[in-house]
Amino acid sequence: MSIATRFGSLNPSSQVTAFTSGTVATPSAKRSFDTSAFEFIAGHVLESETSSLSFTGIPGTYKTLHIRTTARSNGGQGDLNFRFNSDTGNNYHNHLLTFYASNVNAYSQNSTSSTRSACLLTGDTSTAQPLDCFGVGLVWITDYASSTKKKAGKSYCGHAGAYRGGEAQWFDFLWTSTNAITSIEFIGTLRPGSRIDLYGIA
Amino acid sequence: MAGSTFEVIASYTVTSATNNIVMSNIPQTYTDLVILGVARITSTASQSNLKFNDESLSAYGNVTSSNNGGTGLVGARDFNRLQVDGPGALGSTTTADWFAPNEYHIMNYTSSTQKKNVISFGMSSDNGSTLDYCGFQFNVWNSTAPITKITFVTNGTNFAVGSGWTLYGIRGK
Repeated sequence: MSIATRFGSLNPSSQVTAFTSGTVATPSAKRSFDTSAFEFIAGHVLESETSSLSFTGIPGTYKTLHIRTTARSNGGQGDLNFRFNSDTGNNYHNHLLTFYASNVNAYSQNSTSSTRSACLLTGDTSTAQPLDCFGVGLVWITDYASSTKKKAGKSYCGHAGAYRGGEAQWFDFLWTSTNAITSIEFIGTLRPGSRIDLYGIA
Repeated sequence: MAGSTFEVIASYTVTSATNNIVMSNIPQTYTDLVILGVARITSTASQSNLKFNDESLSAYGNVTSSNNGGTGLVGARDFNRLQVDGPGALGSTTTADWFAPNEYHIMNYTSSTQKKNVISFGMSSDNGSTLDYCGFQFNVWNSTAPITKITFVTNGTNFAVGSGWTLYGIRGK
């Protein structure tokens, strides 16, 4: 018989059980991490359609920025790209792998006006992409606050559609500036319910 | 904002070979869930998968990227799956004491209006004595229900002793 085990005071009802034979090891005591090591900086959860949104005044007190996205286009399927410090020049380079069904493609995109992509966006209106299907993405930018280094980062993003579509991307991006990143603008028309959260990692 | 940004919710380590490990009553107070762990299977190499709530239907789909055991990049798309197809897990024919790292990001898991997305990363390697795999996946659970239960399940026989996972909650806006 499986054994239910209770956890620390903040989540007293959480349980871990094993259905089959064997014993349930006493789980690790619930604990919190040092709050300064991984901190929520700011976030947007859209209540109405938005064509772009920005994080400004980003503090330079962390080592790495981390962005987590759940988003959907209000137009056709596409990318949620971003740029730094209002730089609209062709100062971004991207290298990516894309996976779509059985297809694998590799690209380099040099001297573009933004990075790709914080999120792959499912398209709108088609019955193959119902409105409750969103794309997701994870982005890391290390040494974002440096004043001596060009900026580089990576992203994993994609969507599995309503299991009738789907694409995955893995890419790195470069910004040819040594300026510390103090603002990030996301470019793409987003539906309500889309979310972008920004975190700082010490 | 109450509570820390990144918190341990639950943790489990296999001490006797078993399958279908359940983490239930997951609090709905975070934005995303993250699972980090390692897995090894008592039968031949297979997968370390997830199921949500009490879903028994073929309600999962995925887009997969893989190095295909070092033979070249491949992509794949599967529908009507019975689980979130997770990272690989080394099996009984591989060198002892090697475990495969598992990482899952379950995004916006408390939403009652959005289908659920999972990003998973994994590799299964015993330093080349058998085929080494690495890759990442995007999964969707075709349900708008908030996730309150996660079951770790292998399509092999059992998870081996030493396998285990920690479930974390990340708070956003």
